[in-house]
Amino acid sequence: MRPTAALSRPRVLVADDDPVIRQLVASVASEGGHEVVAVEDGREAMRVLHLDSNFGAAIFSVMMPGMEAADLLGYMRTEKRLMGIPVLMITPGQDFRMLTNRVVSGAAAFLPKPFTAGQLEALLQMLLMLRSGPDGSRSEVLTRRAVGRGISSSPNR
Amino acid sequence: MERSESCSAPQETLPPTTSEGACAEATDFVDLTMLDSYAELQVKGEPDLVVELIDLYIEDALVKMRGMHEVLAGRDGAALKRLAHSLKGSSGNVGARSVAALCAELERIDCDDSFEKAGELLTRLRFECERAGAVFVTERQRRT
Repeated sequence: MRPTAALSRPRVLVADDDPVIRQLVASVASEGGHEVVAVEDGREAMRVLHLDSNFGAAIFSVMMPGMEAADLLGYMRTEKRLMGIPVLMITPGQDFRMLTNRVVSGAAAFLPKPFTAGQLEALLQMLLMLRSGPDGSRSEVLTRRAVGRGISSSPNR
Repeated sequence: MERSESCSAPQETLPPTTSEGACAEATDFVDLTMLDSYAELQVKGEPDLVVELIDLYIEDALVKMRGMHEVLAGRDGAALKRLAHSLKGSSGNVGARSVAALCAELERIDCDDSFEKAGELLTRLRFECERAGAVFVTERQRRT
């Protein structure tokens, strides 16, 4: 079967109001061969997700102006077409006590700042392995890609 | 405005900080290995990513420092904390250690109860921002 463009080049939605972090995250994702849609805040991310659910993963900053990631996650977890998109939350530090239950239960992984490119890349690969289709199946192309980079394909959810 | 002065508020005068001086003690307050670690992401033929990150950081820090001075003048402690929090995040990721540490201190204090303390921290933050900026400008020049 001929793979679709979306499957051959996984898309990643990035939302962070900090231009440095946004650029960094976008660069890591691009370098990993992913197509990146980067936006400045949660409201803009919401607008994108209203129109487009074709993402292999999403990376959000926990705290953003306008709409916080918790609200965005809440929306994604109630929309069937968005439920399968695993979300990585970038947190201000190691103290996860400040995270609300909605964030903890809605996100697939957390990455505290400051982080290295390698840490982000490894988590992004893990996230893409978690991506499930509308029927709950994982993308073969994405899984193969992740395994090819030396990361276990075992799903953890 | 010169890049090495990019974090400074225009209405105040700070001790001069040269790039050379800043570099000599760079390890104390700036960790350039953070920026170096991003060099592996460089795509051939694309603009230098580290230079791009430096430019973004300096520009963003300038905006946030200005914002912090404004909200301090307006005695808005919550807004001051938000801005400090935001600057802390990017500072940590580019290796501006002392800037990140001072932002964390600003976040911790009760700005609404102690505007004097917040003002002192902001003055120190501006100084550290300038020192870090000088190191980043030197690193930028080295890469271009």
